[in-house]
Amino acid sequence: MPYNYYLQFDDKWSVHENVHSNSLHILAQDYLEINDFPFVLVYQNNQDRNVALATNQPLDEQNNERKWLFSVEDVISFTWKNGSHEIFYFFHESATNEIFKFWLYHIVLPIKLSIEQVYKFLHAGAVEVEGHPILFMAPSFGGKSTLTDYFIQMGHPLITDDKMATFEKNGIFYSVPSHPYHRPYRQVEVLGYECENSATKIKPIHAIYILEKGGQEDECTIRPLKGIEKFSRLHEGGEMNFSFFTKDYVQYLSRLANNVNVFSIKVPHDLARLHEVYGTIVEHCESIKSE
Amino acid sequence: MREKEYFIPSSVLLQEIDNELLIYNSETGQFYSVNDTGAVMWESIIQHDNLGDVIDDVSNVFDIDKEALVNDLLKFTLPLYEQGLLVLVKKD
Repeated sequence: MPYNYYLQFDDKWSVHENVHSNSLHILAQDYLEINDFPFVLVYQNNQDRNVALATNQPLDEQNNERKWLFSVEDVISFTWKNGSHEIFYFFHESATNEIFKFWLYHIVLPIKLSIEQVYKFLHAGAVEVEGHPILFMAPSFGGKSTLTDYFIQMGHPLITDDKMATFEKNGIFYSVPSHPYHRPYRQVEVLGYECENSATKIKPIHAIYILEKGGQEDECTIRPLKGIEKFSRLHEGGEMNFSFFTKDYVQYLSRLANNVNVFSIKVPHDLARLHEVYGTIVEHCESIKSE
Repeated sequence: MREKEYFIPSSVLLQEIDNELLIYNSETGQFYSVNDTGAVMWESIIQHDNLGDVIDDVSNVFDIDKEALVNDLLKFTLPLYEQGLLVLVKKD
């Protein structure tokens, strides 16, 4: 259940009655009217493709009939109506099933769920330690995928590869498992390997670790972050922070900063010492659990 | 009653994190933190709309001379205007 939704793939148009509130139907469509989406938003992407996120109405207009288009030039386009349980896709000449899944799981679902304010996303890898979700945040190529993979190899359930869906309820911040695919090394348009041991339950976030690159000989140390520094580091790891939600997102991050333990961990720049980093985090997790 | 001199744009957001005050400008994506003294000044700036009232207010809090405070307040507010966190009211 990616992001707590059942995905149902259909290869033709279909009408569904009694749609479960947590189901999404992914439907092929045989035509696409790009001109129906004249309002284009900036969307940063690092997959060496020309992508566009567009909508059919001006952003400052409130209307339940808003539709969205996410298109990857020459590859694939997705469309959906705000709040709808259906996502339509249209294959262009360079599409493959693998690429389709990549864009759907890693990009389109987070975009849809962000825009509809179902979840707030963080740029983080996440695993469970003794059943408690912990998040790893770092800039791109900052080592979070490698560390996440190490935890998976050590038997910890994967929560997310790099887009952490979160939400707040009664002052508690929860992590929502994404999908079972993990990419230990970043290559463009790669879905990742299917991780058999994936987390399935929504749980309160136990701690967030911000990875700091250390030198080869540095000690692996953890220090708590406070105040503006904490906010600043979380803000750097913002994900799916669309311009039209910026204020809301900042308020969310502020509440997150005030309610969740955030630590900085100095990670020695030496892969051979990953076990040391692993051990330090596991031990630290245990210690804050008993606080 | 003094004239309105400034206003805080709706793009400016204030958040308190671990007792530190964060001022965020959603137009520029920039955020700023202020120290304890700055936080008192900012809180007063929010409550009022002219620097005369702010000086009266802050001088009571810190029990200091108003003239001495004027310089500090100008130093504090100049970057706020420059960064778009405060906007001067245009006079006709």
